[in-house]
Amino acid sequence: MNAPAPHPSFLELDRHALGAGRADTAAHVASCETCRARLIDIGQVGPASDAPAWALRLEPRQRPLFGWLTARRVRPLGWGVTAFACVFALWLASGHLGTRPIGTGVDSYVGTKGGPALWLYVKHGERIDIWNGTDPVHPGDLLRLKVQPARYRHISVFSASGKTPAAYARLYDGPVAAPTALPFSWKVDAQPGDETLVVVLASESVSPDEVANVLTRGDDGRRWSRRFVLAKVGAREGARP
Amino acid sequence: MGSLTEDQVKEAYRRYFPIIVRKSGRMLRDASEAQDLAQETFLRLWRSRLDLRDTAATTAWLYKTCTRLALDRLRSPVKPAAGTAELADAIASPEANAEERSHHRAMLQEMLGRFPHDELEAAVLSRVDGLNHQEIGEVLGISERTVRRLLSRIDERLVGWRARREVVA
Repeated sequence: MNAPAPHPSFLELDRHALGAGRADTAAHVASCETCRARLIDIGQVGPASDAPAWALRLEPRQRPLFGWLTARRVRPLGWGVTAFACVFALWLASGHLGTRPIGTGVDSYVGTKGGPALWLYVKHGERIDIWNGTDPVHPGDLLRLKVQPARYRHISVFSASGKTPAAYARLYDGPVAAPTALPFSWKVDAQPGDETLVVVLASESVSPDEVANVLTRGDDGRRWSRRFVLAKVGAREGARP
Repeated sequence: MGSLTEDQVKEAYRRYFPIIVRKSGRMLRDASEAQDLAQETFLRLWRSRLDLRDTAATTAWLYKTCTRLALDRLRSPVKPAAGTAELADAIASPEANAEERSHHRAMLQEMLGRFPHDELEAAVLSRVDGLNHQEIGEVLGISERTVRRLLSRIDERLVGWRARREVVA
């Protein structure tokens, strides 16, 4: 069978079926019987409108990434590690930071070779930078984490409310086995107040209820944590959480 | 359960479950296994904090999660899922002849047991789902360069397979 162009992937066809495909996919599907057949195939799985009993028994969903962050996907950022990235990552990994919030100024660099590390990327408009620990973020900016887990096998990411004591909500939770960028980015909203991210590396999942204790205990060999406090331009003046 | 939740479940199910079922069916050819996998994937989607209105992010998450859950099932030493042979064929060589397919099936456990997870995930997304390097990078959260490296490595391993087949023959 001849097609005028390579067929879109199943992922792209699925997105097309959901109304989120690319324009060139629509053009391809219009002229490709194979892809039209695949789309029909997706539609024949139903009757999808009749959710079965097991689905209707599900508990209510928790709010998607609650409050100030909204899950967004960002294209992989071209992870060529710059010299600055290396320095900043090792600086984050250094023991002298303890569990002090990151974002109170840039300290001198002390590296721990082979230890855990985090990179926080900020996308502002079309520009992507590694956060330097001091620059404010803006509503609409996208934040994305890259992690070097070292010996840890699980990562949990939380955001903190501005209240005292802080309430933590899980943004991401999953296994991690190698240096990788997390598959999602988060969007800064227009609400006033600093934004706080807490990252915990451990051997297993950490619940929001445990976060405060993890931060208090510091890096104890079982868990490694870092807190990012990002000032937001236009935010109400006030103390950091 | 409130009616709002029920409506939300129905909407999520209507929108995403057919896609999950088809994706599951491409990896696990046994219909019952595929249905189980689809249900597990949907449950995880429901419990996630994804914004289900973000179609691109949600479909990327579904492809990643469903692939990983399928590979976990296939690796299970207690109760391996049915359909492993077909998946091995797809990963190793979609154009394989009968002799090669037989060999792939015989070597299946080695593939699932010894090949790194990330290489298998990339191979499934590439050879079973037809994703290009950019899409695989998007789904797995890695760069296109890393995708190319993963696929190149698994190809090298498969060359080793074929060499062993020739020795056995």
